[in-house]
Amino acid sequence: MRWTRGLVLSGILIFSGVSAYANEVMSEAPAEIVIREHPKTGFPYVSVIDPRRPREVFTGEMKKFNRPDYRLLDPKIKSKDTAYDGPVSDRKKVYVLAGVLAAGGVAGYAALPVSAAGGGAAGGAGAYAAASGAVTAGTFSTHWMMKKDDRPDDFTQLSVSRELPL
Amino acid sequence: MIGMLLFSGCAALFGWKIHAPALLSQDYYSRVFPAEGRVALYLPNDTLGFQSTNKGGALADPQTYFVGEAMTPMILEAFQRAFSEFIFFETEPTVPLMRLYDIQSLAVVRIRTLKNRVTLKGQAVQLETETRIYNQNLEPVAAFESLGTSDAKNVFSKKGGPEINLNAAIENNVTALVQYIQDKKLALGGEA
Repeated sequence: MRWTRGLVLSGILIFSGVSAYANEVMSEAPAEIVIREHPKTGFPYVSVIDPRRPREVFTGEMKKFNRPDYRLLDPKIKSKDTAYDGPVSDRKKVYVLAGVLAAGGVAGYAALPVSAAGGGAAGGAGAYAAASGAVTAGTFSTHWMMKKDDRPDDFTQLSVSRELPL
Repeated sequence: MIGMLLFSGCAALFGWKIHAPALLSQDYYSRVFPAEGRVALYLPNDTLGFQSTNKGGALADPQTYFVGEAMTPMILEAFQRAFSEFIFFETEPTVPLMRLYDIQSLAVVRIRTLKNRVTLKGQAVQLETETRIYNQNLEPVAAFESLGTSDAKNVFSKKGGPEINLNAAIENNVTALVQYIQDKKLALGGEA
């Protein structure tokens, strides 16, 4: 159904292009209609391209994954409860390198990378604050107080559009 | 002190690199239904390659969010679902092209910013975009901003947590974006 729709639309567009081929306006805008396959879903769509200046639209790796399951964001749900197969941050490198440096450097900071690396995913972005102890604890609690509302144990999603002046 | 400096340096070099799965969830398909209209989409270069290094708190680890890389396939998928005839402009749109292919409505979407807030309890990310709608003569007919937020606890302690949180914020943004176009009937080239 999706392929049929894509083919029909591209057919209409290509023929409308051919009929206007002799038009002076057409010569100013060389373009081609192509059918591309969505890199994640495989669904076809119609693209207008300039063959003289191809443009890289999709950057990064385009591996196919399962559709995301936002139940993962529910604090009561654990990672193993959802079948997540998507990309994972490679933050481990930081702690490995930091661990090597700290081991040969200042002993007082050894606890920071070791605890973060040893705990796997635990700790996360807050690891600096957690491991560096009393010095940063005050700063972090100030930051935490900046949050206006202490929401219940749930996750919040917001989706909104507002008109702007032209 | 030297150790601290070294540590800061290497963390700044590496940090968290957050790539979202870049797919819409099944929820999107139950919230957005196709509308009639031939709609084109153009994404400027600064949107395609948009990255954010906003780490969301003075004490949080460095983070790099690959927002444009994830948003491009997601917004394409969103438009494919939302409009009966969808055309993606890989080249810069021009009036002759709009007329040639009888496109009534063009949406140009630009990422404005990614806001981030990281705390010990969790993370909130908010993606802000600005969309301008043009008619066949490339005259502006509407402009609007869209916000997509995802705020959750224990994000960084879960495998794929920050990736899914970013994905959710992008999905919330594109959902608001396409629903605005549908609600205001901008796909038909009409005025807002």
